[in-house]
Amino acid sequence: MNVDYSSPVMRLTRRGLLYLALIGMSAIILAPFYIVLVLALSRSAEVFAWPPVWWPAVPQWQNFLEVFEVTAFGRAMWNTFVVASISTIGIVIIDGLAGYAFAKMRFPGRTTMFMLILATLMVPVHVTIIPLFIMFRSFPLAGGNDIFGSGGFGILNTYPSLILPFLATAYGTYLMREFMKMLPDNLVEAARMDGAHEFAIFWKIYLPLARPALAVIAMFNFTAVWNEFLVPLVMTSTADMRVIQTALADFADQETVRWTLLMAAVLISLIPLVLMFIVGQKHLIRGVALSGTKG
Amino acid sequence: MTVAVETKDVWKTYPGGVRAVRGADIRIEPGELMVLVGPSGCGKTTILRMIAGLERITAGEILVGDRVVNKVAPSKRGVALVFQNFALYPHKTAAENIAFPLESAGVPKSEIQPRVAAVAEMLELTTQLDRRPGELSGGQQQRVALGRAIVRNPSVLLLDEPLSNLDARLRVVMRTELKRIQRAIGSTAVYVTHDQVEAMTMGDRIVVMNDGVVDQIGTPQEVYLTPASVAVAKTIGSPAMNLLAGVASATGGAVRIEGDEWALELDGDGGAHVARSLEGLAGARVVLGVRPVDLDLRASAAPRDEGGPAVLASGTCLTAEPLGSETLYNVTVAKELVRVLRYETHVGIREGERASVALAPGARLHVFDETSGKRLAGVALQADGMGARWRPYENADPL
Repeated sequence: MNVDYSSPVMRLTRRGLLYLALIGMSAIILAPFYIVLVLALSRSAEVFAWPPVWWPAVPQWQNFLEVFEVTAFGRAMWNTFVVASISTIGIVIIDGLAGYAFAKMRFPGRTTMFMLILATLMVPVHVTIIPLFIMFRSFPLAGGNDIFGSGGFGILNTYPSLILPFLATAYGTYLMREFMKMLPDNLVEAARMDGAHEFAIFWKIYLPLARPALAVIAMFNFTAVWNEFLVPLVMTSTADMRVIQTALADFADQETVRWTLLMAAVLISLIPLVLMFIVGQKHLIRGVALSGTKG
Repeated sequence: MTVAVETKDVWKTYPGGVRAVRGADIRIEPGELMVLVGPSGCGKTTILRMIAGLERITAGEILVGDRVVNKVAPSKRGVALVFQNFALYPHKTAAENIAFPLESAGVPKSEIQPRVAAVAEMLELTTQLDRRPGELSGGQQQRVALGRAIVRNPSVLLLDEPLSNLDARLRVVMRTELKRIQRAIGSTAVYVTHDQVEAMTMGDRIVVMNDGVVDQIGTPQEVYLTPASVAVAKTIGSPAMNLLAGVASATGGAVRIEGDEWALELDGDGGAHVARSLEGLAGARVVLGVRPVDLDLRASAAPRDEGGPAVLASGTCLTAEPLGSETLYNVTVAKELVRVLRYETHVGIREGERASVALAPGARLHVFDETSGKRLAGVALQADGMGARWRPYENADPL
């Protein structure tokens, strides 16, 4: 252990500078949230006032209610919640299974297959979005399509078109594989000796042990899908299938942007994520530390 | 059931051509505690894992009871395995760990609880049942691992170096404990270890393995007193047997074995016995095996002693290691290091002094073929009124 031989004055100065730096960084991170809050509580006239309004004269709390009256923001939030939840459950199961298989099972082509999955990380979503759109539009026997996938809209404008692209991720598979590899191999053998079948070994032994990694994947994915804009924009066009990010665009038309309502909506949309991080931060920190991953 | 476990000419070749086990034939009787012992990589754990069903066999047959189990799933073989590092499920409590095999077998919940309680009581774990493995000591974890194995009442209990993760003191305690439990449940046990003390103290019989081959199967006394090969002689006994290379020549009924700065005359019935065993041996190159406890150390001023049946060689005492009740002397004879174990705390020889290495009364000698390493003959030094005489010594007869 290092022993600090410096004088008390030196130590205090050093500590003071450290706190100053931390406070400065926190201010930079929190500044946008403060601006969003001020704008959400302002009257339209105060938005572009000069000098800027540090705190509105009369906070307009009713802006938060108006968000739901002016647009179908409630519906959009529900849609987002459904899509993010189902895709997160899917990812936990599918990526968990895939990670377990790649880490603990032996089968021909294991490495090649894993490399192929990893390679998809290098393909940007913008490249695949059009083929994905065509696939979903040509989905057979759905949305008025015949068996060959023509004649209708397929699964466009439905939940599946928003969920399927996020039902499994290469990143999650990679993370789960790395985490599962850290868990001892002989638990498989012990469980096999104890008469557990292959799925029970995964479900009862490895999945509970992989909880920290699953928490990380679940939270990262939920956040990512919650904030997703491009896929919902391309896959849906009807008002009842709006998600938060596309619904936010409703607060702007060709001439004006309703900044106060937009900012209020942004704040509302953040609440579930903030709650999730508060509840899950213990798992998240442990998971990130154990799997050596950053968001 | 005539046999508990049998391996019939079992081979294991790993991808890449490594032959871990070569033609193992082992018969384990019901209720027996059989120990597989040998150095690292000798194939003992591979055999255990093949019996467990965790490793596929390349050729041969494995029987558990009267049933060939080559293609039977591990959990259906009626065997249970205690892993070297226990392999407990870290997220389950001791009770849940022990209950897991019963749950997997679909045993009703009402039946699981009493069975877990009974096992816990036998293993003195009752107060630890609610704890997770991380909250248990090494010895307790080992008991949980054992509990998980015996809760299903397996006909065969397989133990893979179960004591190697425990400290020395606990190992001695658990040795007795394991033997007690094995007797109590009446299962056959197959026990793998590289520790020859464990093998000698625990085994009803011992299988000594080397380089994938079964070298010898016998009681601890048999393998100690009549090792079948140089490899067995090296594995069993502590301190290890002295093995000196030499050339044997038979003249009349006697045999003279001569090495680098040592020589030995074997006369009497023992000499004739060795002479017979040497017949047909090309070059007559042999390895003389003698245990440190069968040697004696005498002060000697002369560079070379005058021979006689009791004196083997003379050399320099390199180190004297007091072990408490006995002292281990390391004596250099030519380029060899000869170990002598004496119970007298003071033989009167200090490090750096010249000394004669003599054969102790009743000493047993083992003659091995240098090429094949196989045992050729054994002789024992017998003192009578006429002086020392050698007599044949086989079949582990206690002298």
